[in-house]
Amino acid sequence: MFNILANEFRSLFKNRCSTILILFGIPILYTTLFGFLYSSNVVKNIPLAIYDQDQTASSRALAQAFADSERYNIIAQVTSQESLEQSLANNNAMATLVIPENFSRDIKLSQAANVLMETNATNLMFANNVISTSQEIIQTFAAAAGQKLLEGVNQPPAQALKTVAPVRLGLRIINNPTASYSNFVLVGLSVNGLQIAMFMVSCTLLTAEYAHLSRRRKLSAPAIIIGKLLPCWLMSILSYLAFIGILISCFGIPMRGSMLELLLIGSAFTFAITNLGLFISAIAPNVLSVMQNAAIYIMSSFLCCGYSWPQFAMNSIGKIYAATLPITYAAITIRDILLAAYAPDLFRNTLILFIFGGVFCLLAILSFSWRRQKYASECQEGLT
Amino acid sequence: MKWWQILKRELLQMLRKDFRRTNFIFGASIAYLVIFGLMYGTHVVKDVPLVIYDEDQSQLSRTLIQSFADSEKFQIVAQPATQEEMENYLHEETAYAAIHIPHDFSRNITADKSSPVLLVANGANLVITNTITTSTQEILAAFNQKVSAKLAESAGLPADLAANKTTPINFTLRVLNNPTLSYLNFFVIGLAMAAFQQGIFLAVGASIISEYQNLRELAPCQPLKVMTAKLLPYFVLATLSFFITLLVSIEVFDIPFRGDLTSLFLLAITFVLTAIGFSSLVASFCESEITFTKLSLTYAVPAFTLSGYVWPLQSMDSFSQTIAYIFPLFYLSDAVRDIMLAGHSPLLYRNIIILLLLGVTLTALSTLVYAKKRRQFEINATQSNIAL
Repeated sequence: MFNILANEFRSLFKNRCSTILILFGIPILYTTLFGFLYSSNVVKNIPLAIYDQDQTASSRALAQAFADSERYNIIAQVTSQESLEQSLANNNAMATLVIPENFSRDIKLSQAANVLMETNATNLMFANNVISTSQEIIQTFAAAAGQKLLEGVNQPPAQALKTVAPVRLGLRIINNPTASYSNFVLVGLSVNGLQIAMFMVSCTLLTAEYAHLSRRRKLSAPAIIIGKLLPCWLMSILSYLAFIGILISCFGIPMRGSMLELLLIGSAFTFAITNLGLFISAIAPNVLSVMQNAAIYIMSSFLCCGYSWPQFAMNSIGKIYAATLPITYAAITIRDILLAAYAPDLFRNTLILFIFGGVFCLLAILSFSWRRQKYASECQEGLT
Repeated sequence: MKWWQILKRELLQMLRKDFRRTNFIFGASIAYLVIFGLMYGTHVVKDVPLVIYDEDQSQLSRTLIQSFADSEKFQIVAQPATQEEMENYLHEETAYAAIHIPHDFSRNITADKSSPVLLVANGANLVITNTITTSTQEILAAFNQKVSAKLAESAGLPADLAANKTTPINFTLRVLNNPTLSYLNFFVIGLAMAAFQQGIFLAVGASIISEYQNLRELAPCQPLKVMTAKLLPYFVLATLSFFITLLVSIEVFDIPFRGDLTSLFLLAITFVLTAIGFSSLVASFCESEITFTKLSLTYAVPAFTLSGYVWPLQSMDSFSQTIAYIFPLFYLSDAVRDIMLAGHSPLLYRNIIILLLLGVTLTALSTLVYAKKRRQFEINATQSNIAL
C-alpha cells in the first residue's frame, strides 16, 4: 500500500509536472484572473445622457444630484429628443433622463412634475443599478421639493419634511455591506476552477492502470483505488487552501469564519469530486470521450448550483438537477463561512459530500475489480 | 487528391468515422440552451423569503406588511416576536431579508415625526440582494406617498393639493429592450454562444490533430488546398448550427428576436471563421487531443466571464480589458444579444471587421504551420528512405 502511494505521488509530478500544474494552476489562474476582473467591485460610472428641457435652477439641481452620485457619469447634456435616443441606441449612454419643459413651474404650482428615465436592460448589470439608484436620487430630491412646498403653506421646515417623507428606510446589508461583486462571485468562480482541474486529473487516474492490468495483479482493487485517491485528494485540498489564501490576502475577500470549518467543507468537496472522477475513470477507459461528454455537466454545474440564481427561484427540474451537483453543497457554504462567519448547513453538506464521495469510491472499486476479473478470465482463455 | 475529394473525406470522417465532431458542432450550444433555458425558466427572482418583525402592531404597520405580502417579489415566511428571533432567521438563511417596524411607528407618523423602518438584507448573493432593495424601495415609496398625502390633508390642505404637494415629482422609469428584466433573456444567449464556441473548438481540434497524426495520407496535396477543404465543412455546419440555436431560443424559450438576419449572418460567419482559425492553430501545437481538450476546457470559463457579457467592459480594469479585446467571444455574444433584444448592435461593423481580420490571420497562420510541419515530415521521410 505504501509503495502504491509513493508511486502515485511520484506520478503526479511526472510529465513535466503536468498533473500538479493542472491541479494548482487552473484554480490559481482563475482566482487571479477574475480577482482583477472584478476589482472595481461595483458597477460605477453608468453612462447617462440628460435632456434638460427646463433649464432652471431646479432642473439643474436634479441633474447635479445624478452627477454627484458615483454610480453615474454624465456623458452628455443633449438638446433634442433625437440625440437622446441616438445616444441610447448607440450604447453611448446606458440610461437617459428627461426633465420636461415645465418641471420647475409645475413643482411650484403643486402640479406634479414629470421626470422620465429610460434604461437599456439588455445587460441587467446596468438596469438593476439604474433602477435602484435612480429611485433613491429622485426620492431624496422629491422629498426636499415637497418640504419647501409645505413650508409655503406655513408648515415649519422640520414638520414639513416629516409630512413629506413620513417613513424613512434604513438599509443594512449584512455579510457584504458594500454589495461588492467580487465578494459575491469570486469564491464560486475559484471553486469552479478547482472543480474543473480536479475533474481533468481524476478522470484519467485509472487510464494507466487499465493499460497495464497485469502489472499490479497481486494487489487488491481497494488498495489500488485508495492508493490513487489519497495523493490526488490531498493535493486538491492543498490547492483549495492555496486559492483561498490568495482570495483573502490579495483580493480582499473577508475571512470571518473558522479555518477549520473551511477545511472541513473543502475536504468533503474535494473528496466527492475526486471519487466521482475515479468512478468515471473506472467505468470508461476512453478518457477523451469521457472528458468531452462530461464537460457539459462540469462546466454548467456552477451556474446551476444556486450560487447566483437562487434555488427558490428555480423550477422543480432545476431544483432536482441542482441537488445532484456536488458543488451545490460546497460553493455557497464556503462563501457563507468567508462572508458571514457561519454556514447554516455546514455539517449536513459535509456529510452529504462525504457520503457522495464514499458511494462513488465504492462503485469505482467494484467496477475496477469487475473489469480486472474480466481481463484475467480473458487472459486465462487466451492461455488455454 | 482533388480538393473536393478531401472535402468528401472530411465529411465522411465527420459523419461516419468520428461522429463526435458533428455532435460537438450541433450539440454543445443546444445542450447549454436547454439546460439554462430550463434553469432560468422563471425569468425573475420572486418569492424572496422575508420576515417582518412588527413591534408596533398597529393598523398602519399592518397596512405596510400587507404591501409586502401583496408583492410577488416577497414571501413572508414568519413574523418573529423578538429582535433575536428575527436575526436568527437571517442567520440560518431561512429568510434573506428582514423588515423591522419599530414600536412607535404609527404614533410617530401621526405625530408628524418621521419614523424609521429598518430593512436588513443578506448581501452574500447579489442577485437576491438587488431584488430585495429595489422592491422594498418601490413598496415604501408608494406607502410614503399614500401616508404623506393623508397627513397633509389632516393638516388642512384640500385632497388633490395635498397629494401634489407631498409628491411633487412623478417619476416614470422605462426599461427598454428587456422590460420584464428577464434573467433568461439577459443570460442564456451568451451561455449558448460560449458553448457554441467550445463545440467548434472540440470538433476542429479533433480533425486537425487526427490529420497531424496521419500526415502521410494527404502528403501529395497542396497545404492550402488541404486546409481549405478540411475546414470548409466545419464552417458551413457551424454557421447552420448557429442559426438552429437561435431558432430554438426564439421558438422554444421565447427569447425575443427584434433584429435582422443579415447582421446576424455576417456576425456568425466571421465569428465561425475566427473560432475555426483559432482552434486549428492551437491544435497544431498540441501533441494529443487530450491536451487540446484540457486547454479548451480551461479556456471556456474565462472566455465567457471576460467577454463583457455580464460584467461590463467599462467596469473592468485595463488588464482585464486588454484580455477581453483578444477573446473572439467578446465580439460575438454581446452583439448577438443586442441584435436579438434591441434590434441592432451599435458596434456591429467594427466587430465584424475585427472578427474577419482575426479569422483570416489565424486560419492563414494555421495553414502555414501545417505547411511547415508537412515539409518537415517530408524531409524526415526522404532521410529515412535514404538511410534504408
